[in-house]
Amino acid sequence: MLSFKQWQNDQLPRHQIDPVIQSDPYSLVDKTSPTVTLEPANLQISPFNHCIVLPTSLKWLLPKSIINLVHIGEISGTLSNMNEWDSMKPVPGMYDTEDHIINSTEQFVIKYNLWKLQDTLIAIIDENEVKYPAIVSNFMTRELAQLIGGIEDMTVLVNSDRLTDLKNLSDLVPPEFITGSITNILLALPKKDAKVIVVPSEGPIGFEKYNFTVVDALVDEMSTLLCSYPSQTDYYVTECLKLWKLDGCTTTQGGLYI
Amino acid sequence: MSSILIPLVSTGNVSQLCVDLVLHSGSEEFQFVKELDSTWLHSFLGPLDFVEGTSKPLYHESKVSGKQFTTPLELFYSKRLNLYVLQQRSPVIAGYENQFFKEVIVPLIKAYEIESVIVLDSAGALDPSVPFSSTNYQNQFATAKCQLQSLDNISLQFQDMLSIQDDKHSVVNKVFKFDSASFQESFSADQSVFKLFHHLLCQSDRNLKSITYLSKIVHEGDNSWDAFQVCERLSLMIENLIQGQLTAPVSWKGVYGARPIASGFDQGIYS
Repeated sequence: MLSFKQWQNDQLPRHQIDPVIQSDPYSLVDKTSPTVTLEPANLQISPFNHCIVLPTSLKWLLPKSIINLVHIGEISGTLSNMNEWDSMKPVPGMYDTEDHIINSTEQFVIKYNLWKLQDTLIAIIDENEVKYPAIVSNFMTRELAQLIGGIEDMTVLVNSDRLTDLKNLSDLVPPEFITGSITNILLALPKKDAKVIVVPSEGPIGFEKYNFTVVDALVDEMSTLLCSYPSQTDYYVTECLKLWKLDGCTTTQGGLYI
Repeated sequence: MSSILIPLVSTGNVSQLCVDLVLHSGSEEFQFVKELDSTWLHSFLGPLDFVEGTSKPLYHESKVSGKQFTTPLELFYSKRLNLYVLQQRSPVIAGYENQFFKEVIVPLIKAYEIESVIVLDSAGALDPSVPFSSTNYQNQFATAKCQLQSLDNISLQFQDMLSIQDDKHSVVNKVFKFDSASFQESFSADQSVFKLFHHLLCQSDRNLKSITYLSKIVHEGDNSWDAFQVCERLSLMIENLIQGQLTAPVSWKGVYGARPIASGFDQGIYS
């Protein structure tokens, strides 16, 4: 038996009173901006004559067995008040599964580590477009650009899936372009004379993969920067290729082409 | 009267493509003015775009001053039209539209004493944030205009209006009048343009006299033809905007990828 309640008879059809999507009542209110801290705060940049900036996906260019890096500091970016997280998702629903659900009280922290190799400062940029909100990277990279902006000789490695050969940034032709956290450093650098090597890659930002031709050319290029004497070069090349293969073999089949 | 053309990043990037056509078709007269702060945008850096075979490509003067790359947000100016044109090459980081409009766009309009703002937008046919008209949903364009001279104490009206309970009765929708043939009759608070107009009206100074909105229904894919159509429509709003033929820059050739087709598979990567 159907039963109607009297107040149901007075109700207007839903589409006449509600919009399909409810507007966010706070849509005109500013979102929280990230905060950035440098540890140690008084990090001295003056002893460095060279600087290399590279993403974590190219860490295999720094094999521990031959490149002895000394940790000198880190830049941290924090975004709190994560109840606003919903509107910052790159793709709606992306974080609604398993352990990615973020509590409203949780803070989001990204760290970029700074290393020293003789008179070279090496900044390793942790990129991950799936996990890290772009706004935090934007604020952190601007701080980093300010910090390293005064170093005379700078080499920057940046990934791009828009080209097939290793190129200098100045050799790109439209419609080739670069994006991501390292691009932000370049945008924020006061001087535009850094040597920027654009590395052809495939895969989402933070999970890039490289083919052998690119790796070969890149290792050659980097050996001139990182190897102190010629006899070191062969060992460096072997170690890099070994690390790249290990890196590639563990994740290449992990879902990129499934 | 000084005007500014603002393309919002929206469905199919039609506004950006339209601005490309405007700038590169008039490359002899459009001067690069400056790069604007891109803190609130996704990053972008690329080579300077140009039209093949042109003696005076866009940026022909700025190359001398050492400009090497295109950046996310750039301002151009045409003296003949007294028109500033903004080109935005990457989207605003989701959630930070308010900061972007308040800290970058509104101060820019104030600084250059702009009197007329023209905003380009586009909408997908199934875009849930667009309040489509129940009668004109088949139409291609939506145009709306707001004459600020006819409004008194607009900033007072905006006070205490930060929390939107009802889009239709918000001040933005009260002051904008849509053309009768538009595919939408009002703005939704979920549209970026709503935020832009809110902050623009809220913080506007006496110089600003009119705001015009032009949007087109598009389907994502090859949107170059949509851009030509928006350009034609735009030339009805800005007199003598285009002299001669509309020309697209070389970057358009790579819209669907300039990469050669992969011929091998090495270490799990196509090469």
